[in-house]
Amino acid sequence: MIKSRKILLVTLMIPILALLGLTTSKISNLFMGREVELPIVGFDPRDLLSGHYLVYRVDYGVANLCATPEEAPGFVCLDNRTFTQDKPDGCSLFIKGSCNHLRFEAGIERFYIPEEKAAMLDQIVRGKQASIVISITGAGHAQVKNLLVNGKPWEEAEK
Amino acid sequence: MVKLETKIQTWVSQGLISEQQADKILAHEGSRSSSSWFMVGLLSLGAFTIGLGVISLIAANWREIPDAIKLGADFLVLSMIAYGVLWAFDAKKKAVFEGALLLFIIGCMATIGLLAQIFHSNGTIEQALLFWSLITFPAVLAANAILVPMIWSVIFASATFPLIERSPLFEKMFHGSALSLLCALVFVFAIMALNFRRFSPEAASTRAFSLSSVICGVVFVAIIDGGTSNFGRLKLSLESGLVPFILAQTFLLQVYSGSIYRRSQKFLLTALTLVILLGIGMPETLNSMHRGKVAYLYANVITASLSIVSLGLAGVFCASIGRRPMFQAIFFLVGLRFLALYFQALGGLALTGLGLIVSGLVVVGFGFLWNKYRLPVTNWAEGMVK
Repeated sequence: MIKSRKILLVTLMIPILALLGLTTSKISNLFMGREVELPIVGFDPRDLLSGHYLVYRVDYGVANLCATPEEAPGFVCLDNRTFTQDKPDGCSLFIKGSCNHLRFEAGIERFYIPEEKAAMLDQIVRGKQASIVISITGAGHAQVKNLLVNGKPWEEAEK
Repeated sequence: MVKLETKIQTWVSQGLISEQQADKILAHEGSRSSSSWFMVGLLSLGAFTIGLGVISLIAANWREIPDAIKLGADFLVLSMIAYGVLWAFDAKKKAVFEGALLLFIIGCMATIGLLAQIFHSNGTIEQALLFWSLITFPAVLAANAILVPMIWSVIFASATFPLIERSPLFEKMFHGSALSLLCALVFVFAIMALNFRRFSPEAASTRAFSLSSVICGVVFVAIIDGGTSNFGRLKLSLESGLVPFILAQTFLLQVYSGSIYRRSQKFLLTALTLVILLGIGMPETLNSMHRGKVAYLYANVITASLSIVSLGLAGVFCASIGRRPMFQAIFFLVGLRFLALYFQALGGLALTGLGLIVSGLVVVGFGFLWNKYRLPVTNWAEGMVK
């Protein structure tokens, strides 16, 4: 259908540029945001290492988080540990997410791990204090930086 | 090629064609052979396998390699494949072009996987596939063979279907009916095919979207047809059919506003659209009268009629636009549905046993008849719509 070389070049550049844009946005979120450490809880043994990623719940330390079953956007203010459905006024550090089946999800509930380390990490993480280091932008977008076990990066904890 | 050479030698020896003509035919077929469907298929299969291998390698998560190197290497390889596509385009190597294009779009998928892994993204696989569908769509239009756009269509449908089904819009727009969503996809692909047909009727993407529409349509009709025992399960109602109805109307408006199809073909498409829409209201209507064995048989005959009429109309339309293999495949399905209907009408072990024997004989007979009369029937269907 495409007969022109120039148009073909454009069609091939679109996905490459879109993926480069996505990479740049992720990198900027990671390096421009503020770093915060949050404990993680609620490992489900069945889903723990599904597809070689760890699935967990983040403990925001907020009471009545997503108390209503309705699916709606929400904000967790980390200054005073409160949850609001609207963007919090006067909060310097907040995470944007959404309530889904009474759970607050901010896109930081998954940590990818190497295939060969999966079983070992499963054993390490169970029963120990685990937390994640995240980077939060001014707009409330959070991104996972690292997984800590007993306060140490998971790579060190396995040694 | 060897078979063709033997035939040409015979034709030359019998004085049907000259030596010069024989050389020209052989040269023409020789140049075609490098871009034949076999080569396209083989190279595409190779590209597909390599692409899956790359995705698998990325999924293994090589923690020892720094993220920046992984990302750099990934974009470098992706750009090299893109260059390969351009080179094959310039060199007019059609089979290599198709294989490289397939490898490129799979490479884009692998890159999305790598980004998810490095940045621990929490999105679902459907979201990733939908993003992939959107960014690779323009590149897919460059394909000359049907395979690349067909793979794209399957992935696009597999991504959008569960995403819509899980969104709050699903209840509002489709009243919880997945079948209604499937019916909507029939018209989405039909609208895509129609619009691409305006620019290039023979483009691979036009054919792929038409085929996707036919496949979704066949599955939609087959599910209604097979749901006779419990129509309530299908959750189809007139309210749930609102979105497919709007899409069907849009499709027909585009059919009538353009000059792509002849008048008779427009009527055929209208009839086919109406029969498919009739399928949405059918379960609710039949469910209300679905009591007792006679009513069950009656419902079977009605739903079988829906399948046979819709397939028949689709088959004749395909023949009228010169899609012979599609017509033959659809006509074969019509034959099978007739057989199934005969089988459904029987009851009891003895009659079932007899039915099986008769059905087996009918299948064999149908096979012989189909083999013998396939071309006359196709010609008849093509000539029917003028």
